[in-house]
Amino acid sequence: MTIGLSHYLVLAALLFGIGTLGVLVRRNVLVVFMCIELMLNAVNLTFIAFSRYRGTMDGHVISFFVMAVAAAEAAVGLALILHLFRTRKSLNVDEANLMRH
Amino acid sequence: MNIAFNVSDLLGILPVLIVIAFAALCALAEVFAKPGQSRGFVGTLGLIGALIAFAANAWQWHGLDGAYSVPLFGGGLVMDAFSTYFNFLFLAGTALTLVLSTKYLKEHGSDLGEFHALVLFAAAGMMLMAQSRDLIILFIALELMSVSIYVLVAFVRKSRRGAEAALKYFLIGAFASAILLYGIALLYGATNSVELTTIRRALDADPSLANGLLVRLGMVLVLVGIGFKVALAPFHLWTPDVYDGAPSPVTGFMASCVKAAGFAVLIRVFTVTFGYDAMEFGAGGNGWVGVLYLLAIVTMFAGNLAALPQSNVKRILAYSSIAHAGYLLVGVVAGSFGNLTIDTEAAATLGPNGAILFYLMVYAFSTFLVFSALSLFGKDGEEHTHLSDLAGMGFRRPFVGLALAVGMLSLAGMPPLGGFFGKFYLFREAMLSGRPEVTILVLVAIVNSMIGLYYYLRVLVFLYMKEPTREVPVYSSRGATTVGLISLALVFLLGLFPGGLLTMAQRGIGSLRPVVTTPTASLTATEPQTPPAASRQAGSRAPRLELKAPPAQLKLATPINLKATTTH
Amino acid sequence: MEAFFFYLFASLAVATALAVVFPPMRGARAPIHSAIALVACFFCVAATYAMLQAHLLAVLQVLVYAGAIMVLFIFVIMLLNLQTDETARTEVGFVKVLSGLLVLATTAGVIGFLRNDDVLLPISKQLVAQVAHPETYGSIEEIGKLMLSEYLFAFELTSILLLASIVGAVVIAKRDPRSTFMPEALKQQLYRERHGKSASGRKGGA
Repeated sequence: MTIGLSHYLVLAALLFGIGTLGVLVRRNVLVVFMCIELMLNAVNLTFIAFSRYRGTMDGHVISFFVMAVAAAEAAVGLALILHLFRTRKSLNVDEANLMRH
Repeated sequence: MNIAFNVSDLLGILPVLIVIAFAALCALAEVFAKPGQSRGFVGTLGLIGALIAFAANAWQWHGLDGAYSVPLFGGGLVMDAFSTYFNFLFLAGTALTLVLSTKYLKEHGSDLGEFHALVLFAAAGMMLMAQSRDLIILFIALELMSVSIYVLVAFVRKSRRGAEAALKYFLIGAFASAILLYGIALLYGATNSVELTTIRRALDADPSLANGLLVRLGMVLVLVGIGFKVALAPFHLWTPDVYDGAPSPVTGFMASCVKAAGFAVLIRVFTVTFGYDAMEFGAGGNGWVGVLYLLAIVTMFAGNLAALPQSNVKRILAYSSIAHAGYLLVGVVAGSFGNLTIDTEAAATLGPNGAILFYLMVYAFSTFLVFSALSLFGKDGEEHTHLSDLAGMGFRRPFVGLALAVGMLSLAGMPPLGGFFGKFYLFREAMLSGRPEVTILVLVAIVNSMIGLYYYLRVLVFLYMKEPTREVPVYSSRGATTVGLISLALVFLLGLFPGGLLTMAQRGIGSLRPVVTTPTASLTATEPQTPPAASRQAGSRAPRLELKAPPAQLKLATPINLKATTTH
Repeated sequence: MEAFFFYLFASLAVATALAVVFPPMRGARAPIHSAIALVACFFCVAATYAMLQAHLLAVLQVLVYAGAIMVLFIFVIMLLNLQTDETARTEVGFVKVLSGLLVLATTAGVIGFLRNDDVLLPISKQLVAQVAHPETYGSIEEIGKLMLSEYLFAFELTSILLLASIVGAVVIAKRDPRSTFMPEALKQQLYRERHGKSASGRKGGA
């Protein structure tokens, strides 16, 4: 049995779905953020798979940019998490009571 | 090997380069500032940068022939009247934000020069969003804007709400980015390109592809991603918390400029790239307009109805911004019904998309007018923007009251203010598309504007008809007064003499009209091909292509509407 | 052979991804378990990159994602030193279940249609057939050429993005200008958590 493009795309869709599920279901900010990283990985896999079966290398370069963007997001996101933790000692998203009036 | 780079391309993004350079200067200036020294000078530096970029942008505007666009960097970016129009909006918004925030930051104990640097970085991101014609550049520019805004929201250290709002915005924003990127990946897979012109060509060449599931899914995901950014209805739940928690000048910046950037992308990606013919309701089209139609209705109602019971002015404004996104969507829906064609008849009219451009500008100044007053309420990380905090302010601080009142009336769409004409042109142009389903949409929008009156006028009632119940700290600032005066003048002027801006909006949208369908742009091509049939359209109205650069540098993209190098 | 490795790494990737979302052990350490599972998942994804002849990307995946980004995550988790059990307090709301089901249904739909080669076939015949690639496919040289020619602007823009994020991260993460350096504050925080009373009245306490 040969492995085709659709196999890789299905794997990517699965990972993306699991990541989305995590974002919606989990409440710990750090875990939610990890799930977003998982989604970005799924996107990278999609790019690279399409690229491989198209015979071009654009997908590789794009994945590279996505990694850079993910790194930038991670730096800012983790800084924000640290900042929040200093003001409130919980990372539960549901506890954002300050916003409710 | 193709180096898709031409030194004259740098002139095409001159305002962006100036903004980035001054952002770096601001960040550096902070390093050399003495501890305890006021950082007002960094704000001034940023303001100078924004103004120089504004002047450069005006220079570009005058050099451009309205109907044509200049592709830059091998077609990934473009300079046309559309992007230049939006750059005016972003740069004006940036300048107003910088002026507004200097005193605010001092009052709230976060007087750091990085603020100004980040505002400029965000502005650079927005400008590149409006200029990009490549989904990857678009994505990185969007991230540049978003990352800066996440930090700006959390900028006031003493504000716990700001920290929470920033994190919430960050998580939602990163989530939306991932969805957007997945959409881009699917579009890339379907068309083998991330460049909008190439995507458009691929879709034109193969209708079965355009209606295929892969493209549709990609479009939906891109729409969801952008929908989060501009706060369309099912994706708007973050908006009130973030707008409320963010520092007031940043909220103003987000409501006016971030939203405008989102709509610039929406127009360029959806209306222009995904085409006009392929989106009829029902069979034969890929139906994104149908999706937008529903989103418009849901967004208007979600914004207006949820704003009614609110008692915090910033939350009211957050819901109002959602409602305004809904009105703008009416324009996007109407604008996708053939008004943006190559047809020269249509070129003489504003069209719903042109009305969107006008509306965004007016909306931005109305927003800044409101926030110039609202940012004064509070101290040390606490903002007092409850309706009861405003009680009696109309008489105690007449100018603050006036700014708030006029701003609210303009947002509500009262004649003779700018907001009224924004709505008027938007709805009129939408009606002119002559489609019954759009007429229904406009009627829904008018009903919604009526609902909206209630919560805008409620603010006025508190300002002028209630007795103050408690003392709230309201500082005064020359910067805020300046911003208030400029916005006030513009809101009145755009209401009384909308002609100039309308012409600009028309020219802006006109530059999108010639559909870019050129054969070129393959890596193997060695010389620019003469565009066949399509060139007749442009050729009849424009001088022939004037290509000063050697052919090797132009082979990546030579769309027919190229007026390369002639502007500089 | 390819099929064997694909299914091996794909199933491992899915299993570890599920372990990120639903860590096998609940409790205060759950975030760190999620992080470790995510690192494992990134390794599996890197393996699939290698199978797609994206060798450089596979290496970068390990270096950047697993190596840098996840280490940053783990640092933050350890820095925060959460003592409380977050997962125990997570209530399973109706909306969450609904949104979860919606996501599962959507994913199933997407998979169903991507699995169907008829969808991919019209796009290009290449897509379902293996294509022969030149030797240089996926090499650093080719990526470098592409990055500095066609994607030059995106490449330069990325540097601006990184600059903005550095400025942003520094300004957010650094404490109040007058206060102490982080480890000092952390000490106070830990002290307070262990002893349940406020630290000595030094300025800049969290």
